[in-house]
Amino acid sequence: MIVKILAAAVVVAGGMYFGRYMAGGLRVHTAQLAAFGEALKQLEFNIRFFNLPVSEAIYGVSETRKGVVGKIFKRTGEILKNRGDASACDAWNTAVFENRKKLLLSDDELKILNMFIVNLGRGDVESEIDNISAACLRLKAVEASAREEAEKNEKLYRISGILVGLLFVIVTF
Amino acid sequence: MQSRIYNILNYLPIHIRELLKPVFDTTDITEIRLRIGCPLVVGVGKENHTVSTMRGLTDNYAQGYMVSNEDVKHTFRNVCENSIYAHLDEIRQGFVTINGGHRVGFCGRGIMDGGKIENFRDISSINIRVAHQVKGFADFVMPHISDGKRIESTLVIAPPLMGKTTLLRDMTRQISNLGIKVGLVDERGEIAALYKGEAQNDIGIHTDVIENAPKQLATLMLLRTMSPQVIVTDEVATDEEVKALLYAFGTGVTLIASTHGESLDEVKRREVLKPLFRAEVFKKAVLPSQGVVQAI
Repeated sequence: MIVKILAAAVVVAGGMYFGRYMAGGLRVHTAQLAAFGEALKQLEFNIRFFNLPVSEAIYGVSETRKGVVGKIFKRTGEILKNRGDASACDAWNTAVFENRKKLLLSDDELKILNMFIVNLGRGDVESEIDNISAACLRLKAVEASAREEAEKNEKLYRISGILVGLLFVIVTF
Repeated sequence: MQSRIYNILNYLPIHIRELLKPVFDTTDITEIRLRIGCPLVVGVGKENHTVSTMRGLTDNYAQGYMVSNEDVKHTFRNVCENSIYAHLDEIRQGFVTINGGHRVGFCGRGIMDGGKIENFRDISSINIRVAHQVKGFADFVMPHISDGKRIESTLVIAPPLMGKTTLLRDMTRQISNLGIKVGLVDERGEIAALYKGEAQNDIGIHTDVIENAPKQLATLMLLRTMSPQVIVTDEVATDEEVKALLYAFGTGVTLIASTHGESLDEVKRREVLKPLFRAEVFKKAVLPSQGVVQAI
């Protein structure tokens, strides 16, 4: 009996953990979108005020950013600095691919960043700022809906985790 | 210094790098020209050759490597470090200085705004001029203008491509290494060739450079901020530049400048330069093409 109770507790705890994990994913997703937005703002600063070339402007962002966003900017900057023939787009795609497992962005969200990187470095400072601002606006919009979704679903995931655990215990025990 | 020529390869597409590397190893080249739909041309001294697809130089242009649109685009993108905005001031002047001090010039369709070239699109050709520094080129000048402590104001006169800039560069280096503070006004970046703040040419240890700024502004700025004993500037040609030099001369600074011309008499007759001669700014004139230093 004690074994059964313990096993049931483990199953319920597992369900709870899974629910929390799913809810946490939503939070991280929103945080990553926000971090990309902040990183782009910093990139804009590096371009507008320091007139740094793309490789240095991107690498500069990585120096104050942690997590997967910082890693992507760092790797992109490194590729651009070390491989003279890489385009910004190639370097970015490589960096994103290498960090894909930790990145919780959807394909549509990645497309926003891709659109921005394709145009990066092709115009004068003003057009670069416009390009970054447009990407920031789009990111803000998807971040807002991601935040809304997270708020709506976080509780649901947590409760669902526990309920699924309980249901499994009731059915199988 | 010779090794810095290899920096150029990093800016070119890989297949062109492979063709040029053996040429760099064996030949002292002066320029590389990429024109879309034409053979890749390499300048050696005053001669031009093409680079054979079988490697090596040839004068049979039919065997030459044909430059593609993609080759030119790729090179332009690399030269601009994927960052047009960061090099826009240089692009508007038609060239960008790359690592090693080499100058990359562009041709294409100019985008005009208010009568000025705002940018280029559809780049059609690229010319990479290999930077060469000739140390000792000013050896024949220095004993005439310097007693080891003081320098006399000097005007370098020569037609284009006769070594004015090379001479000014070496004079700057030698004067600076005498322990004299030199302010270098390098409007087109040809003398020092700054790359990310570091002079790619040896311009001496007491030289401060302002590059890519109009001469008249840069001269006044150097005077205010760096208190130079000597100001060096290339190709004086406008009223504003002459006024700035007169102002600098009035503050007691020694001037070393250059101008286009065949002889001292011809330069003296030029209206725009007359104020400099009236004020007896220059004590010596150097004609590098003839190897002559004469008193003014």
